[in-house]
Amino acid sequence: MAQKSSSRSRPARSGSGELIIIGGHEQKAPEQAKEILKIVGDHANGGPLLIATLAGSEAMEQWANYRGIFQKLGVKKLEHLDLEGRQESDSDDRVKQLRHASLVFFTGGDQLRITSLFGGSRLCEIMRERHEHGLVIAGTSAGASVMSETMLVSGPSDDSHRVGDTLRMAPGLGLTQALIIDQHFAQRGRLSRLLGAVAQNPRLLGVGIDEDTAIVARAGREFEVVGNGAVYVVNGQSIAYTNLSDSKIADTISVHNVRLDVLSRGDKFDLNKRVATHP
Amino acid sequence: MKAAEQRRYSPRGTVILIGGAEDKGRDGAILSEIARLSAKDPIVICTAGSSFPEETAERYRSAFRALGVKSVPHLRVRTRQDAEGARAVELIAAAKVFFFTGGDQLRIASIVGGTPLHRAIEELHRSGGVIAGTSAGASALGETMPYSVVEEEHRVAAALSLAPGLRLLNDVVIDQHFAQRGRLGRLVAAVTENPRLLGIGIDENTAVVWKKASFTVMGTGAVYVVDGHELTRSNLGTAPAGAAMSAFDIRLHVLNANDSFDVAAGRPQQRC
Repeated sequence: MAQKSSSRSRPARSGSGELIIIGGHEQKAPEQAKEILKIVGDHANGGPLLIATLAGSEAMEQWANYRGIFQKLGVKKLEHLDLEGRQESDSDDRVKQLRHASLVFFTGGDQLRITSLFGGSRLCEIMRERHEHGLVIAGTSAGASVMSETMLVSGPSDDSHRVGDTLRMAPGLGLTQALIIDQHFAQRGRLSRLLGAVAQNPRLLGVGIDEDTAIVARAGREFEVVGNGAVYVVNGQSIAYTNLSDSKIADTISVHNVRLDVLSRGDKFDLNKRVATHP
Repeated sequence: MKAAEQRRYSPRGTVILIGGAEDKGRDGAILSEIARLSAKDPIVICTAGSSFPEETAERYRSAFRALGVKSVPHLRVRTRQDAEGARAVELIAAAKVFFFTGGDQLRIASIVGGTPLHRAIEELHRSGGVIAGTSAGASALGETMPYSVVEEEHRVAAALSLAPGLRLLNDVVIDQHFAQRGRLGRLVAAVTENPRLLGIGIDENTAVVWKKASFTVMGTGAVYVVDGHELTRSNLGTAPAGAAMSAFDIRLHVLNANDSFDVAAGRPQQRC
């Protein structure tokens, strides 16, 4: 399963470890089933499960909250990764923490804070290398978006996308090179910004994940949907025309012939053939 | 309309579907085009869907008057009796354009559907007139119309409700305020329930001008066409209520004001 031959000679491809990419607002309350976090916990295999609160918002609360939940779900060892600044990502303590982790979980907040603090650091390189060799990485909301090679940062979610618009993308952590991820998808009406991103380069497959919904991606080959919502797959390979490059700034985008698949729990998507399948 | 009549129904007129919140100033392209098409004949404003009929009618009356339309009568229809009265039919007989304002599409269909007013609207369409509708007034003109309250995400058999519309256009389901209210889920669900219907989602201040079997787009937003003819799987018939929706192989087109769509061929065309 491991693609060891490729890991040294070229930058990380979609690694052999699984990615659990969550659309935000996964169930956390005591009375809820917590399907998605249970899957994350199971993948941690006892731990240490490293909770990375690098996205900024209320790091200590997030750590305390997730630690409590994962403990109840049977994960024995939990650790907290937070960084004061980039310097700290070089520290031996942090490196040791990451080397021992059985799974890394990125909490939500601001994806740019994750990448600016962590991207390209020694710590990040170690994580990517370990992912190549099987380390499972999970993330929710902003922690989901950062997994792409190019990530969506902001864009209109209550209007159609316009040429030259405020759609903002930035380099992500590059854990998957095939997907561009958006989260809180139906809840925040984000189709147009994902379409805008896919039309810019249809090489990337657009994946919009609803809240309390996740995909479990396996070695860049396929992913499976879990959780209570839907996953929207925007496939631009068949695009027959788009005005993105030749129109005036502020023209509404025009994109002809996009393929859309809507997937729910149990459905799979083959990333090589780009087809949805139902078991 | 009976089946035999339906087959013969090949209107010469135009249907204009507006996604709501159209610019009502003198630079507003959509209302200007409707004013132009009225060719100085009256534009009848029908507020059957509105909770504030007088205010709504007044806004459109002043907008169209500023655009040079002299006669803009208000057809206030609150009950089916109103829609059966002679005044409605007389107003339409003298007009070139009939315009449904927004509000509640279910109210429009339940009050107007099957009345002499409905038949007069069809007759105007058949004989070359213009039938326009904005927001709920646009949805009401389709064969089937969505009216769910929960729009954010579609769950099997829960959120989405469809009702028969006035059917000025066959085989279509129309949604409005589309990008603004994130309505992709409910339109995909409507199309998935029966892929015979073509789904058309219209942004605010954007319109579809439909003649015979094709339409053009105008205005500042986009029009989303959801085509389910190649659908390979859907769980709407089989999954338990409350499950999320699955629908594979939907074709999606995003059209702007330079585009048109050949409904018969199911293909978009770029005009310029």
